[in-house]
Amino acid sequence: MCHIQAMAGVKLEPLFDYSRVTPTITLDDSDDEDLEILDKIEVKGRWRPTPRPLQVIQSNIEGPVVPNVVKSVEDDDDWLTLPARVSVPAVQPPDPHILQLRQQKEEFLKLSILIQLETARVEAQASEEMERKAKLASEESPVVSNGLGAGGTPSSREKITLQLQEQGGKIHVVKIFYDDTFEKLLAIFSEKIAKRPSTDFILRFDGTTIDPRKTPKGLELEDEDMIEIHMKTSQARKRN
Amino acid sequence: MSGGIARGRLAEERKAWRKNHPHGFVARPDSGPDGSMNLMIWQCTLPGKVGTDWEGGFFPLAIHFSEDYPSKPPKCKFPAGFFHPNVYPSGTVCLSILNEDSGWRPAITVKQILVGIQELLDQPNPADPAQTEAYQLFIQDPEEYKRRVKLQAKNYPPPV
Repeated sequence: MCHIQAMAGVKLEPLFDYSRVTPTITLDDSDDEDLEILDKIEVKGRWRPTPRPLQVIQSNIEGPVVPNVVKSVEDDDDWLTLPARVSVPAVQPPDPHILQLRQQKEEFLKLSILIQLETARVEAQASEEMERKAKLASEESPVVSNGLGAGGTPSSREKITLQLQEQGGKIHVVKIFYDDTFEKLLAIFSEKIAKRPSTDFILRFDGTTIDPRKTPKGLELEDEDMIEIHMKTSQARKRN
Repeated sequence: MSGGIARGRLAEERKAWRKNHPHGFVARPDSGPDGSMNLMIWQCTLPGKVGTDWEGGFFPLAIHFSEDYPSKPPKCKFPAGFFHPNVYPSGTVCLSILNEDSGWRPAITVKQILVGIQELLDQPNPADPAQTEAYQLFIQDPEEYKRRVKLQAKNYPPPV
């Protein structure tokens, strides 16, 4: 209550006068009283489960530390400290409730951690499954290329997806290994798509004709790069 | 640093081009003698449109980007003396979408520029002549103009 009175007094005085008054002893006395209360409350709140005798020790230990903090607050502005003190006594009685709430909070925390772990596990599982499916899918498509010879064990080698663009603009997506030669790409296109001899076609990338003996790796091609297919014969015919 | 913006955008343009572009078109950043890539100058090839007098020609075009790209348009150059009403004697292309003050928008892609110039080849704009020779023939002697266009297309044969 004394604080509210003090507050009322303060309100009437201008700001600078108040700051001159603060260092007086009377205010410090009130501080000490309140600090005792504060200490007790703090200790009770924090160390509820520990035996009573500890409180005294605790308050003794914390005694010298806390007042400094509070004093500095007091120097800055008396208004700020007020709500804390008013609320503190209100906290005192429902201690079992707080304990209960804390227990609940801990349970919730544990639960949330469990949920996080669980979701992470599920996500990892899902991504693993996706990878497996992607692998299966990519292993299915080269059946086409494997049928054309150049077998090898597909598991350890990396694949590249290339877009083959016909003169009319039609695009075919073909997967081959990075270290396959372009001869294989030509063979896939001529046998499976164009149904014409591969000697009719020329592959071009970036304005240069691709040497069929080279590989995507050798030309530093990237996934989904677009390769153009040009017809040898029609080009020759056009020229004349 | 506007140069950073230009280079970043050009790297994106290059990436997109590698993965998708119209058939027969080439667009690649210039490479120096040491093999290093210069993103600010692109060497391109654009094919004459099928069904036009330009068909069969594969015309070389250099695109010069400035540090202010894409807020400012690039400069597109055919070889000097290129026969077309809207191409300056220096080879620079005169086209609305390449003009900072009229049609240029920063969102226009390299692909759109090249396709736009391909369109221009067979559809010259007589309201905006850039050289006298091609312009006068186009207006006064369509037959001779046609012959010259076909001749030029033959001078730029397919690279295959």
